[in-house]
Formats: sequence, C-alpha cells, structure tokens
Amino acid sequence: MSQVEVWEAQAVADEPEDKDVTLLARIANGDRLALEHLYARVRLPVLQYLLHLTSDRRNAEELLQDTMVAIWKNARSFAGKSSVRAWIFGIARQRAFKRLRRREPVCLTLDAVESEPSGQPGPEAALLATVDRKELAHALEQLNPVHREVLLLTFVHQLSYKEIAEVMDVPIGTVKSRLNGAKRSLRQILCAGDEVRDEY
Amino acid sequence: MNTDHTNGQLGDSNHVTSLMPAYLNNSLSVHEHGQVSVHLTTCATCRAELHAWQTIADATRETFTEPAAAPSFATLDAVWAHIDQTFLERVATRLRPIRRRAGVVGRVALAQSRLIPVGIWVLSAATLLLCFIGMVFWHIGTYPHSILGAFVPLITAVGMAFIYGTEYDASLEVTLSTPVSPRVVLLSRVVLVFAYNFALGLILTLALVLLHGDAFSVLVAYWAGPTVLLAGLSLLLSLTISSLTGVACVGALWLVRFVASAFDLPTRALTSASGPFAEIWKTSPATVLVACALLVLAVLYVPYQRRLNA
Repeated sequence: MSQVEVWEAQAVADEPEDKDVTLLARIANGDRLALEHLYARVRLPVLQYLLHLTSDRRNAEELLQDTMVAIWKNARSFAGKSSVRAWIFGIARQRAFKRLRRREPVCLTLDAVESEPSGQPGPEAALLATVDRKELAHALEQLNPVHREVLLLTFVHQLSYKEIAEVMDVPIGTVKSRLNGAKRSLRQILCAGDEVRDEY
Repeated sequence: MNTDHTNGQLGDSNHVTSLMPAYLNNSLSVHEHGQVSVHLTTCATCRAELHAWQTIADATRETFTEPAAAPSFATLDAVWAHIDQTFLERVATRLRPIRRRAGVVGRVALAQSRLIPVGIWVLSAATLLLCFIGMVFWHIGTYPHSILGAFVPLITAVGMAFIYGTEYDASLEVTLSTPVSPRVVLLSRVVLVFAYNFALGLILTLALVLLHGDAFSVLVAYWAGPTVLLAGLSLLLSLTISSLTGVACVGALWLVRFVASAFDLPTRALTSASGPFAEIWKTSPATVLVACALLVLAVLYVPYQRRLNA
C-alpha cells in the first residue's frame, strides 16, 4: 500500500471538514506534506467532478494538477466562509472552464426565466414516479450541462446549497432555481421521448 | 455539510419542495431535517415530490458515479514539478519589468549615439592616437603614465562639455520633444562618451603595457581618477554655465598640472601630495565620490537648463 493510499484510508476516519481546514492552514505555511495529505483526501471526488466537466480522463488529470497547484498558491486566501471542499471544487471548476475556454453554458440565460421554486409540487412528480430508470439515465445525459452539474454536485458530491453556490459562483436562489429547472427539463425530455415513441 | 437556507423558514408555508434535494443529501440542519420529516408525514403531495427527487437522485448517482480509477501517483510529482517551476517563473516575471526598462534605456542610448556631435568621437580618437604615435616614435614614452594622465582626462572632459545643449546640438530640441526624459537623454550620452573615452584609454594603456612592460593596473590608476573627476566637473559647468566655461576650467587645471610636471616649476608646490589640488590627479575613492556627486548634480539640474539663449 502506497503512502498516499495509507493517508487516503486515514482520511476516511477523520472528521472531514476539521481535517481539511487544518491541512489547508498547514499548506498556507508551506507544508508540502499537508498538500500530499489533502491530495489523498480530495483526488477522487475532484477527479470525478472534472471528468464530468471535461469528459476526458487526460484533461481531467491535468486539471487536477492545476487545481492542486492553485491550492498550494492560494491556500492563504481561504477565508473559511465556505467548506474547504466547496472551495476546492470552485477552483477546479474555474480551471476547467479556463482550460476548455468554455464560456458559461448557454443555459445560464435561462436563470432569468427559471423562477425561484414556488414550493408547490410540479407535474414532474407523477411522471418521474412511473418512469423507467434507463430512460431517466438517458434523459440525464441529455440535460443541459449546468442542470447536470447542479444535480451532480447535489447528489453525487453531497454539497449543500450554499456550497454549490460557492462552487458555481451564483446566489443560493439560483442553485434552487437550477435544481428546479433540471427537474423540469427532465420532464420535458421524457415527454418528448414519449411523443416520439407514440408517433411510431 | 454546511447548512444554509434556514432563515427559520421551511420554504413555502404549505410545502417544502425546494428543500427536497437538500433533505435527500443530508445537508439540512438537524432542526430543519426534523421539520421536513414531520411535514412529510402529513403531506402526500410533498411525499410524491420527495419520491420524484429520490428517483432523480438515484439515477444521477447511478449515471454519473463512474468508478473512476484513482489518479496516478505521477500526478503528485507533476504538481511539485509545476510548483517549483512556477517559483522560477515568478522570479522571471519579477525581472521582466527591469529587463524591459533596460531594453528601453538601451534603445535610447543607441539612438543618442547617432545624435552626439561626431567631432567628439573623432577628436578623442585622433588625440589619443597622436599620443600613442608620439610615445612610440619620439621616445617620450619614458614617462608613459604622465602622457596618459594628461591626455585621457583632458580629452574626456572636453568631450563631456559638448554632449548636451542646444548651443552645439541643433537636434536636441527635437530630442527633448519626445517622451524620453531629458535626464535619460543626458545619462545615455554621458555613458556613451565616457565609455568610449575610457575604452580608448584602456586600449592605449594596453598598448603601452605591451611596449614597456609596465603594470596595467598602475598605469590605469594614473588616468582613471582624474578622468572621472574632470569629466564630471566639465559636464556640470557646461550645463550650468556653458560648454566653453567647462572646457576653460578643465583646461586651466590641466595646464597647471602639465606645466608643473613638465618643467618642474615652483608651481609644483600646488601639486604636492598634501595639497588638495593633488587629489584631482589621483585615483581614489574620494575622487570617484566627488565625480559621482557632480554627475548627480548635473542629472538633477538638466531639466531646468535654459534651452534658448536670449
């Protein structure tokens, strides 16, 4: 078992956030070992997130490198307003968009029309309750990248609304509206699929 | 996970749909979580909504949680290599403005070399060439240090008197209309003329060393100090009064020294080692310091120099 894997195993047992903050403070003081510990803790989730953004393993690994370098250089600027993990995801996201020369996806303009969730249940509930899992997976892959990303951060990386807002650099209300929009888009994609099938 | 979105409220007064994703990923506070749980027991609509979100959550995890292999360990090595390289780049970045400024000064100096009166270059080269010929063919090189100590400072100081001023440089007004500071113009010219004369002096000294076998450093010491001092004096006087005043003053000092040493007249008292006059003709830290002070005064004064003669 390599040293990094040993640290990775230890990381599971530690209190995540406290440990991350301690490591970041040590990194800010130039402790190289601390960066290696942090790398062991975050490399998998960050790589997974970058894989989602880039769809390319090599690019994702290079971006992971960039992210670690940025952590080393900017550890002092971490103000503790969000979790370390959200801060790191935010850096990874910025690097990914910079590297890919991608602008904010077109869907961003939809934020204006995606109103705050009303709190009222929508018609999606009934549809989603009956939908086939494969169809849903297919619909998820067709989602707008921003909608897909907000679902990924919420359900795969288990970030809170505040953390997602930090990562995506948007207000919390926008996070909620994007989640709502993702659900609505899924319904539209699924309905469109049903209509195509009906035509045949 | 941090909790947020509380504000003491749980979304809509009737339903809690906006909190469903947070409820499912356990990012609500314990209090909020409890409130939502209670609400769900009584609200079938929200339970349906929760079920829909649960379906989305499960599908998202299944679809996007790829069993990604851990990044290779080479990644960490590459991170360190990048960090160390970045440090070197940072040093290079800090040096970049200095290099850029040096480049500008270099280009200005090059441009000034074409604007300095040609006579300065020719006169210096011709005078020192005559000195060399005299020393070689007329055997006055018995005292090569005296010849060097007399002519290298004189010719450098004379050249300095004419490097700046509309009196002898018709193009100076045009030069000064450019964004380049008059101080940079002056400094460029000083460096060029001084370096040219100093190089000629070194070449002449080297030739004498080869002919007579004297110590190079000893010979250089005979003329280097007086050269910087007289050049500084000549420059300051030419800027503050006139070029001819600078030449006259330096010429007078030189004449006293030359006559005294050539004819061993009573004026030798003036040049005794204890007298202040003797210090001018030595290469010492004091000589260099005074020369630097004169140069600084000249550079400080130059923007205020009167450009047009009434």
